[in-house]
Amino acid sequence: MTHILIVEDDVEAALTMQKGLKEQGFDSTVTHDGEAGLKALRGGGFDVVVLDRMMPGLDGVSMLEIARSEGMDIPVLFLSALGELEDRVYGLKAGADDYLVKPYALVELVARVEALLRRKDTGAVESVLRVGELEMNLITRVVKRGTTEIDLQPREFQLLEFLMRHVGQSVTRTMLLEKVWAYHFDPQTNVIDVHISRLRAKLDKGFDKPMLHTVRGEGYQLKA
Amino acid sequence: MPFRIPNFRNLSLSGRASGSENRSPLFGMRLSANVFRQTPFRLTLMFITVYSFVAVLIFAYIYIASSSETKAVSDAQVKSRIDYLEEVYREQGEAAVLETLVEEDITEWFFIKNIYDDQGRVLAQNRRAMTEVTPRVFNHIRERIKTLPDARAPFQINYRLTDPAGQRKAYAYRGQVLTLRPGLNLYVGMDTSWSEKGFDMGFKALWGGGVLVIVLGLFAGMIINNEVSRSVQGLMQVFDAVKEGDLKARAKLRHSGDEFDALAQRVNETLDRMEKTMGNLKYAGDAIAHDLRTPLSRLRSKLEVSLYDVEKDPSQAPDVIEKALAETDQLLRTFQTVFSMSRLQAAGQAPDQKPFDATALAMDMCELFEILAEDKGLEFTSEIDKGVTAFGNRDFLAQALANLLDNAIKYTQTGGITLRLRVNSRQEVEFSVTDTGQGVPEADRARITQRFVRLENSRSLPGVGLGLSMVEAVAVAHRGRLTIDEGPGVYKDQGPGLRTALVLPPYGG
Repeated sequence: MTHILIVEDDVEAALTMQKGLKEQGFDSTVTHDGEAGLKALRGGGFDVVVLDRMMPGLDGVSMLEIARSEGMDIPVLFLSALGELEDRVYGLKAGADDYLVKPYALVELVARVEALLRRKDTGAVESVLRVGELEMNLITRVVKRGTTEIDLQPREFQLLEFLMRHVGQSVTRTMLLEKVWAYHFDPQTNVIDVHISRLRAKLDKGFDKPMLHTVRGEGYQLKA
Repeated sequence: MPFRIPNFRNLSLSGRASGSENRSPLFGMRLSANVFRQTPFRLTLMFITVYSFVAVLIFAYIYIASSSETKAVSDAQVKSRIDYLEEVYREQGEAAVLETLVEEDITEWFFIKNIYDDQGRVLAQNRRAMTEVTPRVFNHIRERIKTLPDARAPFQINYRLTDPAGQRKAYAYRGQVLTLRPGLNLYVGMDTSWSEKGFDMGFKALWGGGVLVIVLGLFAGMIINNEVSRSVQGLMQVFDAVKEGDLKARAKLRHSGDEFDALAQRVNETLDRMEKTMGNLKYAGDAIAHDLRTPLSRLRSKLEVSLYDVEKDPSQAPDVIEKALAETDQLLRTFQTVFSMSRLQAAGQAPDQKPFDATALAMDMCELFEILAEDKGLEFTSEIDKGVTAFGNRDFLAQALANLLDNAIKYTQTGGITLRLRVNSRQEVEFSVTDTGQGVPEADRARITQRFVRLENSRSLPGVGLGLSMVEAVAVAHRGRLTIDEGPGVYKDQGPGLRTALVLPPYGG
């Protein structure tokens, strides 16, 4: 079972997070400061770390720098209430793999944790992605559902590729804007929804079983 | 340094200090012990001390230099007399020298001369010696001679006598003694009191002048001190008031154009700025509080009502919670936007700015928003110049453009949206969004960039009224600007539309 280390000084927030992750099937251990987090991390047995940036004593950035300098390459998701661009850049420079701004939706946290776990175990370069009857050839850029070829715009192709690489996981609007369009901002509107519904129309039209689902809250999920 | 001389009408030299202690700059309350601790007065004292020291040094130098000159001159003069008289004695004998000594011409008025025997009896003396050398003085001269190591060495004698008119008079002679033969001694002394008198006068002038300088200096010091402390105290009162929380306190300007006035002006300008900023913050705080209060109380009452519904029909629970979540998200988003804006405004400029491909940004925005417009049945067109580079923070600018495009789509019912990117005639990078919606009346255009301002016809649409405020904050943080103009005009049931432009300064690359 996947084991997550949560380093968060706000006890209540940490417990809520632990409960939420448990619901999604992730076990977690909570520590409340950088020193304890580092100690737990040195003990090993974790698959991903959710690390709060601002903590009394050893803060998240310093703790991460120490961990990285000791050669620990465990994926780390940074949490911060700051949320501005320079803070994110700073966090990523310190060695974080992803960055999430408080307040966040639980689904967003889970989605990002899943993405980090995924990153950890896929090292191989694939040329064909398959999800159920959906097949994407990354070289010829042909997408088929069953025998039906689906004609996609370049961005729709990238969108679907991302969803296929995170099959079975929830991905949020912010994640999509960040990973597919490479922008970090709050689109404020349903602009991502419109793109998804376009893709969904092409993907699920004429098929009984929909593959692209809307997740209650604020995300999407591709299911086989 | 242009010290400001105060209005002398304010100087009260008499004891007229009552009732207007603040306006009596010289002898009012200010002249207390702490005047010595005030900088201008201390500087004055320092200058007076330095001046006095230098004056004394100069005078001492002159005194030493000229008194040694006086000695040299008088010694030479005395020696020439003695030599002459000795020659007379050697060539013409004792009687001749006695006669010569007595019958001298008027040029010898500066000298006393006498010849005396070993018992101290005067054998001959000139006229001046007769009047100015009393037996007592003469004895004094003889006593002095005995103390000299070298009998021919020059020596100085000073004495005072009461003259026949009854006035005390100071005498100073410098002279020498020559023994012509045992029992025949010649003394010649030269009056050096003129030199002493000159020094006396110089000394008196210096003292008098010095005292005058010191008195005037102190006087000026106090005036300057009062002038400065009045200005400084005015400023200190302002700072005290501000410290106590009165941001409206301002220093009084005297329009004299001096440094204190300039300083007071800066202080006032700074306070104006602070007051405005505080006002903005307070306004933003109030606005957030107001804006959060409404949805929060709505959320609360909805949850309250939902609780009854859920008790009756538990299957409704997910729906209720989902709606509550959506409302909470909206609140958080509002909060986040205001927070971002405040950080931008506080920093004064957007972080992490670098050259970026403006053409690509415009194309990405097109691609993102085109289908949103099409979904609403609007035509989306773009005119994007190729190869435009701009300098800035790409994500903040994307946010700003997204807000402009989102607004345009939201407020346009029929017609279309156009996104343009061009380098204008001033080499500025100009992103503009034109729509064919109802537009914004000119009178409201300045207002709509303010936080939480929403026009009447937009109240039914989602949003909180932060979009354009954010765009403006982003523009300013890039030393650019947001302009809002009328769109393409009225056509059938459309228009006149709105044209918003985000203009960035020229990229010099």
